[in-house]
Amino acid sequence: MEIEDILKTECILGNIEAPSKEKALELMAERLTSLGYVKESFKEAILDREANYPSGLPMEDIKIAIPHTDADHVNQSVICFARLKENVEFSVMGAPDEKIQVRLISMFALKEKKLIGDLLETLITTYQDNDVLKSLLDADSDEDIYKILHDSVGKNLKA
Amino acid sequence: MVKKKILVSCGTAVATSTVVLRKIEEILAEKGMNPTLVQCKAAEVPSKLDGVDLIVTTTPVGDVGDIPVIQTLSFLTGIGIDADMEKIISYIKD
Repeated sequence: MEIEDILKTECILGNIEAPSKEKALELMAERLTSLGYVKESFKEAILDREANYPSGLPMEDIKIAIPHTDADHVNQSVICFARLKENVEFSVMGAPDEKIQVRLISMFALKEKKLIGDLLETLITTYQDNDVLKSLLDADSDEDIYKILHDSVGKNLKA
Repeated sequence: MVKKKILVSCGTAVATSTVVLRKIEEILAEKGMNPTLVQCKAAEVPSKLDGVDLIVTTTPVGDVGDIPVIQTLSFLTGIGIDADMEKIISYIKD
């Protein structure tokens, strides 16, 4: 798997306005649905998963959420990345009562179940570098976000 | 000597538990330890306790009796891995 296979500029939402995490996830899912990467059922599945198994990660400084759902809802594997204009509240993974403020959401839709672990490991390794998260927050455009992800995730991605 | 067994769980047994399992496996291998690591859904944990010495999970698990549980995000956030590894090793060393 090459980074270009799963990272697409059209799936980067660098400047979205959402009053809640649900709205943000809906906007992301709708983008993927309209482009044909996922099935209609993806949106509900991702919202449902988030409600039951929250995806907020309390990184040391800048926080990020990593929502995903089952391969059944996916047509073609892709990463969807969103940067919100304002923070929204996510629950922390494994601790629904614990809340964090999030502006970065890294969603993926993978068709090959066995790739999920590989990609998630790559993304997690990438996001453990606070400089990467900071550069994503500071990026000027969707293209810049694409470039940062391309270089940082691409570097960690196993062939 | 019976091999120690660690159950690693998350919501779906697909995503975060894979990352956690690999990290634990890698760090233990560096220390010359190779326990059996088994991945499962958090909801399945109570039915998979046979021979399990330790449970490491990213999301809460149900009733597991006396088996120690480490619920942690350290392997995902990078914060506190060393402390968790010390705990893990303390439970599986002979």
